[in-house]
Amino acid sequence: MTPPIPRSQRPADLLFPRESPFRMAPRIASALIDADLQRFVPAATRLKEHSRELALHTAFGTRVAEVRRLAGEIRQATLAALDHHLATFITRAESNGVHVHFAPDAASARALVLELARARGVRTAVKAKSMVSEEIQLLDALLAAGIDTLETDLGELVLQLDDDAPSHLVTPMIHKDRVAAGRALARLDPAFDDPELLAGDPATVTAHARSALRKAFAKADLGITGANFLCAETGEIVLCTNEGNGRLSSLVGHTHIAVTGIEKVVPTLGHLAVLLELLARSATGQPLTVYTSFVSAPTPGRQVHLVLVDNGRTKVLADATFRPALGCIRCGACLNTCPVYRTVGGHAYGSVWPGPIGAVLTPLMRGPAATPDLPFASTLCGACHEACPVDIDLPGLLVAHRARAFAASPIALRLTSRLVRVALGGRIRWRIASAIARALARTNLGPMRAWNHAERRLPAPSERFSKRWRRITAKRSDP
Amino acid sequence: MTDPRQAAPRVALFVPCLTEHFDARAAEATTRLLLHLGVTLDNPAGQTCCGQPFRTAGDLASAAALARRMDKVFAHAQVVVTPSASCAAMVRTHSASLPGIDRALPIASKVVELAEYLVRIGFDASRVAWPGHATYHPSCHGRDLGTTSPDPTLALLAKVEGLTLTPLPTAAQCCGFGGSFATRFAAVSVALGNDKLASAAASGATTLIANDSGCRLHLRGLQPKARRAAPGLPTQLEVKHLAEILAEGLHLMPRPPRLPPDRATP
Repeated sequence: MTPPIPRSQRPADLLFPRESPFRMAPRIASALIDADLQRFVPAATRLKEHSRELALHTAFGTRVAEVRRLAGEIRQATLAALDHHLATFITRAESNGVHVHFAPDAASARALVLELARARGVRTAVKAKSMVSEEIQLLDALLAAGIDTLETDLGELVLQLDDDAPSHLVTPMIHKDRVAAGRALARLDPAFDDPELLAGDPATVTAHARSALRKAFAKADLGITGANFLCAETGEIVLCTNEGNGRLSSLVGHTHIAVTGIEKVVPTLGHLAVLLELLARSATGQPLTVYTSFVSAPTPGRQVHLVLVDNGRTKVLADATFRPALGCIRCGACLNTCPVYRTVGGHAYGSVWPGPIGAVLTPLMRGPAATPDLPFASTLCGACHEACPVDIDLPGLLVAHRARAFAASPIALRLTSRLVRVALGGRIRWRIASAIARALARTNLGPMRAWNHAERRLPAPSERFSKRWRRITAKRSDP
Repeated sequence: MTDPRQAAPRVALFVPCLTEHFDARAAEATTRLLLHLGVTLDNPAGQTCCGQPFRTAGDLASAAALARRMDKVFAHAQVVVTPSASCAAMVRTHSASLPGIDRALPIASKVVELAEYLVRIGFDASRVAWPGHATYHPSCHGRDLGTTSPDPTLALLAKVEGLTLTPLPTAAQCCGFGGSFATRFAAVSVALGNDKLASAAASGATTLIANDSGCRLHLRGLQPKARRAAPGLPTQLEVKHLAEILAEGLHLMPRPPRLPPDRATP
């Protein structure tokens, strides 16, 4: 028998901030002084970035950009005809015996799953990792409904036991280490409360976790998974996991419920192959996830349900500017390479979706007014676009968000911007504006106060180059 | 098309606003170098701002207006050379996606970053002697220019006589400037800058070569604290532009003496 699972409320406000508008500053401030985060996140993200580059280079050599472009075209072409591909998928899946449901929003998705669980008499459940289940806060809903539910992805399990929330799309407990994991797991199995075990080799730790989880799998009535892809050609649900917990979750008990977003459809197995070539390589540097499982039809006596979640996606789909963001295959490469994510971690973004893709998606899902900082939380260095396996121009989309924010900003701000532009529109005006700017640069007013951070000063203005230019060229024209 | 390798190519200098006001020496080095190479150089007086700060702030209409203005200012130039990659990327890559600019502006195909230009005209950097130990921070905007690999700056530096060039382990990571990001997210910006400086210092180099006007402003601004915070760091880490290395190495400009370590500590 597994010990009872802690029922304490998970800190929903970490990913679903109560305050609106949500401001990043307080979380950034605490992230910068969080010694664990500063130790684990930069190191782990750099390692994964390195593994990604190596894996892609090994597989595709100099043709990485070409493969990324192809994958991007597959995703965008699919999105352009999503209704068609989705209808094809649903027809095939239903003829395979899968029950397909549609949930327009998070609340209806939760209600659907709970209703299914009630109808099937579910008392215990196991859950594989799924970002959409985080998005609809499914675990909390299941626990609140009295369904004994355990996360089976090791990282997600640690977070559940710790009352913590994921801070990365692929490696949810990137902000913790093995010791913290052991402390959490000890609540599930006292054997983990053993410093020697935790200091020992990871295989021993995972073997312990495995035996603890097996008990939960064995008694579960319901297995919940997400879906990495939905193949329209075959009606199959594709699960990519490294721990095999996705596959197990899809097979235990009498019911499997998969929850995923409507954008996960790929037209054919051929298209799927291209994306699978890129997903694990971009996420962790593996050629393929250890388990890549295809759920087609329920075995006799069992039921497979698929809940297709919209929750704002059709709205994004209809927006020509931002539609490309729905092409995301959730590999997390943009997080790993982002200098800002590396420095502040995932919780600073106040969303299920952190990092560059989160800074693009969250304002679309919650409305730009609720998340004013996110589009600006980027240096626009372009690393995310370069890393994206499906070629999403994330910096371009962040600029598009900024443009909408500017258009909606107070008139005083827009006027100031236009005034500065006018000042830059002619030689004399530029000279006057320059003189003012140079004087301002020596003060601590306005933007200078923010620039003159405790550890940074604005270098003193040099001589104006145009003056020096006149000297250089005058000298040269002397005989 | 004009072949820039032909004698006395006519080049217009594009001096970004940050360079004009904070980096006269880098621009002077660029000028002296190009004049030394026999380039007929012009510095169009009407140039102000390429519009990049407006684009990143979301004021795309203003960015477009300034981009079009830049195009007019440089209408008569055949080749436009700038010492700063991000401004080159703005004009060459990003201006075409601004509202009201349907096709790429003529200036887009004329703008080159200094290192790109030097490689294009076949400048032989082995004539340059600059003894020292340096590491190089590439501009992130090389990604928009397509100069990340091969990087023309690295190609040139590799040939400089007497220069030991140690790769920067964090070369691909942004220095944290990011325009308004530097003030909006000052703490993150500073943390990233310190990370860059620490990694540069750990490489053993005493010179950090960076060409982008924004990175340079940020990294130079961080210098004093970097020294205070980590007394173990080489106090003499200096931030230099490629043009300064080349101009000094060709004796077109005097190489400033290094401050002795004790004097450099504020």
